[in-house]
Amino acid sequence: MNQDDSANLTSARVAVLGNPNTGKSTLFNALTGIRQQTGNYPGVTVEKRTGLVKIGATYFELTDLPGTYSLAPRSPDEMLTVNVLLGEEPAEQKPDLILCVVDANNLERNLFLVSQILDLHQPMIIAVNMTDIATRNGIEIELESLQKLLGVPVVGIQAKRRVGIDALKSAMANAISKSPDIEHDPFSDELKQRIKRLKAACPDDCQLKRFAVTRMLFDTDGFMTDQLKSQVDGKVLATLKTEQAQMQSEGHSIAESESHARYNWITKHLDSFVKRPTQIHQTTLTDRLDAWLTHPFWGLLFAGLTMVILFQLVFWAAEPASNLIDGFNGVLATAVNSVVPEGTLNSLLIDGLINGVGSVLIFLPQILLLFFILAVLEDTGYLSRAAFLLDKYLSRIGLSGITLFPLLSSFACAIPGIMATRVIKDRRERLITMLIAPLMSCSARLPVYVLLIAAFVPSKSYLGGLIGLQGLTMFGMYMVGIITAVVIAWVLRKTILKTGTSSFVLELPTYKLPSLRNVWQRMFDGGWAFVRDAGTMIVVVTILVWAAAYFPQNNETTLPAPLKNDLATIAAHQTTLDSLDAPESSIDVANLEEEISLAQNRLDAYQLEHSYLGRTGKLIEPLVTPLGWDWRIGSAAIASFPAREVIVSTMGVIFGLGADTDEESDSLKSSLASATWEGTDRPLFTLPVALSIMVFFALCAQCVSTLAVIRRETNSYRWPIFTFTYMTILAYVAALLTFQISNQLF
Amino acid sequence: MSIATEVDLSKTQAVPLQSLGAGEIAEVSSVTGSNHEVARLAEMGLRTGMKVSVSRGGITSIVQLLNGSRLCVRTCSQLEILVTPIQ
Repeated sequence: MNQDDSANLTSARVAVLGNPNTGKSTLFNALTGIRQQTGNYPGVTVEKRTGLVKIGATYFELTDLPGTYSLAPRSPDEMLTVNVLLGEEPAEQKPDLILCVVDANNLERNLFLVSQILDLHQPMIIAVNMTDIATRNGIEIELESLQKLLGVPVVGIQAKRRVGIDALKSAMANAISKSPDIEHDPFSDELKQRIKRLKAACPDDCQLKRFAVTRMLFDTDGFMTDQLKSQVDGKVLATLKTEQAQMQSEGHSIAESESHARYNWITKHLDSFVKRPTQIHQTTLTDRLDAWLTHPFWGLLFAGLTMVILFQLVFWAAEPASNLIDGFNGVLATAVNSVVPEGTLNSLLIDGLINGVGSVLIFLPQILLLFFILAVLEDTGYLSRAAFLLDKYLSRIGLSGITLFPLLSSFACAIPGIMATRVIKDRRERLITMLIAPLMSCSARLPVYVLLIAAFVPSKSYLGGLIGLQGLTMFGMYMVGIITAVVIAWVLRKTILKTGTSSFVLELPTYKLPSLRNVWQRMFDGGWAFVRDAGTMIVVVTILVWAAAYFPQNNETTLPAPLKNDLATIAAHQTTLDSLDAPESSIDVANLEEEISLAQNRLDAYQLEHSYLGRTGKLIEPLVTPLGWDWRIGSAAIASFPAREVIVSTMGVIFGLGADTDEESDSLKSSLASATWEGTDRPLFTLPVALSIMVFFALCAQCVSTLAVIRRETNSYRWPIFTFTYMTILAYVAALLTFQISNQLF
Repeated sequence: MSIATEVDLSKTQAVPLQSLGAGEIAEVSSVTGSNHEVARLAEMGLRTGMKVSVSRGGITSIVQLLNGSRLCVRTCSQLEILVTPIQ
């Protein structure tokens, strides 16, 4: 505990942990209120959530650790909890108090983790949560007896209703720096002897003798031994080998020994502090709901409806809010335009900064909605039921049922989809889902498909008008992404994220009403994490692409003669328009404005062609020619790196129609249809070229926001770089094959 | 649904967990596979000697443990849970 002399206040660090679904986060929110911060632990994908609560004259800094069933980690992410408890995590000090949250309805299983934490012999307090539900289920818990057995304070609470919070705070203040009253020892005599021998082999200065040797004795794959070996020395490791070999030779499974010992200890004492209903086959609300919601037919129907609603909400309900943000950006741009004169600063502010910030905020409604829905589904206990129902289908491609929601969300937008992978607990499975999520055809691909299909795919129909070729092509584009995702998931599982055929175990918690505070907090955390971490990268990249398209600026003296005429036309017409006094003037204002617009569009197209972006497009032309593309399509593809849909407006500029064109624009469609390879009359856009572009965009990673979110969620640059590389190569090869094959066919 | 603790323990031959149908009660005879997987299941309470009730059978099944936990479980070639049905 630290003393702050200046303010005469003290501060203490509290680690909050417990099994998943114990209401740990609800309690954390109830204790800390809005005084919370989120961030990331270095090197792992785990989010760090801390909060402050003042109890008396002491500030308690609470750290909400990820839910866990045990302190036997098998990965760096899981090791984090142990490291925080031991004070081994960089920039983290050992906690002054451990607050362990347990579910009153499932004490037997929850006490397994408690028993492991007690091995640390650190100051600890236990909050028995959801006592109201336990009472309703006929479970009586004698907290005093439990406290006596464990030797640490035990407080009964209802975190959602904030019952017992004051008592818990008071107990926390008293528990600081008080180690457990008794030495916890749940093991059989044989295991006690083994632990004793290992402790004896430890160096005298080892701080964690008991905890370290216990964890190493039951270590099944060497991970924990590797992590803790710095605490001990070679002598302990040699003794460990001997003890483990003896255990196995005597027929004791190392994997099950610890569980057998701790659960036996729990079962032995359970009746002394828990009274459960004597009536057997008691049907609970969860039983009744599960009869429907996990039913092979009705359950699937409900899961299907839930997903349709989720998809619709993310896809459609967020649209008005996104449009509002877009409209606000337009108003802001107009305001800047009226204050800042035309030129570099004006373009930087409008096309770079406002556009960049706008492209971050425009995703926010979708992200908030998705997190709201997922939080409700998870908090009620339904998400794991849906995962159960869908698991048998997704397991065929090596994924589990829980991956469906993130993947489905990705059809609306990969960004919330990738953030939704937080519901996946298995690290490798979460990574695979993140890496294939961008292959789902998101809404940003739609403008590309709509424009090119309408312009180049014949409007034929089959089966009496039931199936149209254009609709079929659109469906095909979606299928390209889905099938590729299945193949990539399989390849990843067999190669860099090798997991073999894996099992799937997921707890199905009892159903309960969601905590609105939790739902709000998760929604806010998700949205803020996106804006804070991914937003910065998106804005930077958008400004870089703007600069590439803006610089170098054309020199008026070196412009070709027709464009010099355009400049003169603009200047002359503008002077005429400025000199007009009355709207009823005989001059055709609309015609003048139209001529200015056309002249400006030609100048913009020339500017883009000679910008760094246009030059790069020409540089890569030999690379994209095999795809049927020329430098103009190549430039548009590069310009669409911040977001795929940008290709439509970029093509509008390149083909002299201005940046305001959209996928429904007839003039853009006809411009594309009449475009030819430069210096020839050979059509540039043909059906094979259109198909090649669509396939490229179906598979490419042209979305800086997606890459920024992958970086944020994996806490590493490695995975976004990997995603960009594999998707670009894949998109290139697929577009090449599409063009070359379809060129032979059509 | 709670599981009866006092039941007829006349046992039949051990069968894979996924072969049990909804409503069947069994005792876990063995959990074999990688230490990692076996330990993970044991920590969650699914270990040798435990009585389980199957709510939904099949490749991915729902089992209820004696302690009240409900688990969704899919085994694989590297993890086998054999159970002995209790009649």
